[in-house]
Amino acid sequence: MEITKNKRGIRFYLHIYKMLFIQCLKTRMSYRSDFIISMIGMVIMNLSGIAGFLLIFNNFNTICGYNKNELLFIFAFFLIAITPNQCFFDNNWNLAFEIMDGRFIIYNLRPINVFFYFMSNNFDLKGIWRFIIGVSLLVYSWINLDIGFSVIMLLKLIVLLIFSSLSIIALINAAAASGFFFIGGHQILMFTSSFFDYTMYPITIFNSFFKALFSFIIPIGFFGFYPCQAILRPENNSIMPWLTIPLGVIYFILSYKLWTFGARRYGGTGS
Amino acid sequence: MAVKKKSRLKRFFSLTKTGIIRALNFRGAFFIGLAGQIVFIIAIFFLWRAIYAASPTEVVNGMTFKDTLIYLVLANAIFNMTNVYIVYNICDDIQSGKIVLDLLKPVHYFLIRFGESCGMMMVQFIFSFIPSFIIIYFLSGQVINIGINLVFFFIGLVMASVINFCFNLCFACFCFYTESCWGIDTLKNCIVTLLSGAVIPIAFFPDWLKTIVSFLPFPAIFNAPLQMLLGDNTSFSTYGYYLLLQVFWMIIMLAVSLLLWNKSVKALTINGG
Amino acid sequence: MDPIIKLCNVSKEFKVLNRHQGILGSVKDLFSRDYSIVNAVNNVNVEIMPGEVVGYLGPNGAGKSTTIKMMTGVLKPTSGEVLINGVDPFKSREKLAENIGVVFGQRTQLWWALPLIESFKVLKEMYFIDDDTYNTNLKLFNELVGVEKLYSKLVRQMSLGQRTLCDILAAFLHDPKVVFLDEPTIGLDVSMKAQIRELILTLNEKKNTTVILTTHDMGDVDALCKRIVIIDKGTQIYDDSIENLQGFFGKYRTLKLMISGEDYSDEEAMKKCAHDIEGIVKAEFPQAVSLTSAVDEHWIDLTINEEEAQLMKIMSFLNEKVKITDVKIQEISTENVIKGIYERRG
Repeated sequence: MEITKNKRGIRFYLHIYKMLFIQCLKTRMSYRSDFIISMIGMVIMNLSGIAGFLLIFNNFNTICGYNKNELLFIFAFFLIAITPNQCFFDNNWNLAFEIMDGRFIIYNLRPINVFFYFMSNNFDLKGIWRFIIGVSLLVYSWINLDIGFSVIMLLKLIVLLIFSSLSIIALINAAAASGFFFIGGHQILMFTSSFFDYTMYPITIFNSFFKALFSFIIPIGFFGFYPCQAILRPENNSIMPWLTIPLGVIYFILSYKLWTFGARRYGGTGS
Repeated sequence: MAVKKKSRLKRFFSLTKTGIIRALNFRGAFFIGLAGQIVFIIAIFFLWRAIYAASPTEVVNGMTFKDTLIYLVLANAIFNMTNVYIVYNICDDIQSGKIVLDLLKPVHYFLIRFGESCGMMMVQFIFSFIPSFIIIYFLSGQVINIGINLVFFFIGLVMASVINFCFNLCFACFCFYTESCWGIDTLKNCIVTLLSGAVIPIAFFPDWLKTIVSFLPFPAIFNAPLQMLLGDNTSFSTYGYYLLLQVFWMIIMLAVSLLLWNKSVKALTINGG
Repeated sequence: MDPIIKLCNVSKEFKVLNRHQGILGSVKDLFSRDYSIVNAVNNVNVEIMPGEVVGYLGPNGAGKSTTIKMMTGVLKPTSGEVLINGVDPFKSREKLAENIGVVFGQRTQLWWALPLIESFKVLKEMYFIDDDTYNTNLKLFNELVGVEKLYSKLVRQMSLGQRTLCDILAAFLHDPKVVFLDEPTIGLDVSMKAQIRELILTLNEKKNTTVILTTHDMGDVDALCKRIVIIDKGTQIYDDSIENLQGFFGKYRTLKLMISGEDYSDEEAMKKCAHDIEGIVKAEFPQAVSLTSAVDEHWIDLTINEEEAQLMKIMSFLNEKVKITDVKIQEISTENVIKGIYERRG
């Protein structure tokens, strides 16, 4: 058999990922109580977000022209969009700790891409609940919204979901990568993820300065509000939802470069 | 006798000092906490402004936009001040087995943890709560009274932190039975943030929920100090009422947490190496 | 033949924040820009040929790990050139990684939650190891250390010794040209240490793999290394074979004598006796300037520099002057030589 050396392409990485993924699943499931409690925690976390919203709508009818079901739709979109980040890039949350105790250097020692190696080390199974709740909520709000259904709408949504999730991954990558340059890396990551709490607010509530900030610098607008415009306000023919696509790609590439730059620069602890 | 008391106090304060240094050691970390608060203030300012703008009435459930804003910011500030990872740290210690060392110390475990937490809470108070207070004070047009209510509020805060500590400890007990630190901590945080009025003031809760909440310690932790701070021309009997409420819950939570804790420690299993 | 490892004038500097004490100090640190520059590695030159087993020694903080990190592509040198297997490790990290194996003391590179054999399988795919090599190596590993019984064990469940053993096997699995071992025997019990040393030696002999080993343990050095490099405070102070190390200060040996008629429990009397003997010898052999005496329980030790005077001559001289009932001759231990080297540096 010919040895195909130096052929480390997509097939190679998918193959390695599959091997690690299966093992990771097996291990996760063997920790019974941890598995169940994490699931419960995740579900409660998402439900309480929804509950908070519902409490507001218990007393008010619209926020900036958007009614309850529209905002739930946006929230559902966000829940689905964040799932890839939650599931596949969860190791970002361990980054600061591995940097601090010097363990991170081992990722530089194998002949594979460091980013891949690091991320493939962990898969967050409980993230799947975000997806489940998100889809259920999406279906629920879609039905209640009375906007009809077509395959085109669904396709649009799927495309926007994909690129929106790239932006989300990018934001978390960048925040985690700060751990390579500053000591408070974990705190920065937590701070950044606190922005996720505000993704279901319509961006229109902000004044122009913050609108710009939350649209392009910390682009929470593109995690739910703008992409959903394509479905909720198609008559506006706004370009904003479609900006999700190029921005998703750009942000992802930038964050990836930042992350790998930090990874190469990192020298470990001790002498 | 006096010498014994002095050294106990000294030990307590040395723990507090450790907590303070720990909190300050991450250079950017506490700036971040404040930054998070500021982002929160910005977000809910705009959110509730928009909400009230679309509302037919200016006063909803007895609260105006300013009332709501002040309440939310301060409730959130109290939450951030008291949320010093008590559950998470204890869970961590249990997982790593370090808890055994602490349990063997001559001081009761509660005091050790509380001492450290006090230190961290002090840092949070100065660097996170006070700035938030100043911001909301000016943002709301200086409508908050500055007078004796501040004194009562401070007392209320101190008591609230004790009640909160015991409450956290009850949850931490579950960490003896499972390995999921994150799950327990998240569960606690979700419940607290929702039912404390930090996400939406209790005045906005549906009645059935209001009833449920009144049987939980949250009003004593969050609502009581805030009412003492924000009330107009509060009579001393009102202050007395809230303080008594806090004392009541303090006793209950201390009892419950001690009970649960002792039971859990007995069932302690440690990871082998 | 070209050296497989070549370091030319390699240096590495670090910026370190000067921290202060106490609460006020911590507050100050939050805003401080007070850094100092630390020279972790200072102008190091070394050439290593394929198949050599080289030990890197030095006190803690000497710069050993930093040097290894520069050789494996983890750190970029501040100045100088590093060539491993013909490539710059930092620039061509992935290319080099295919041909090296690395083991960092207490940090395992195996997948924590995987059974050992699954880790091996992933490595097989990762390094494109062909079936023949893979199976042959596994068979060899099993012959040497019986690794088969660990196949289904999760790395997480292994003891430190087992984990280190498996890490080393994993490092050799893909037949690398160079293997770097950073403190591999640290924290292990005696039998485990012996097993690991055997393993490394056998693999080095069978596969002609170059092995670079950093260690504090003299047992490692004695068992494995033909050549050692000593680093202290970032500077290389010794780079030569282990035999020459013995003669670094001159050829020292210790002559242990048991004298009859002496009360061994009386420390004072023993010391006086040793002093007297030293006096007699020095009178007879005035060139033995570095001769020292000591008392070791019931032995009187005379440490002699054989470049100055021959031990056998001194012994036969003493035999006529003093009643010697027993004699032992000791080589000076590697440990003491190295200690002496550190102390000389001061």
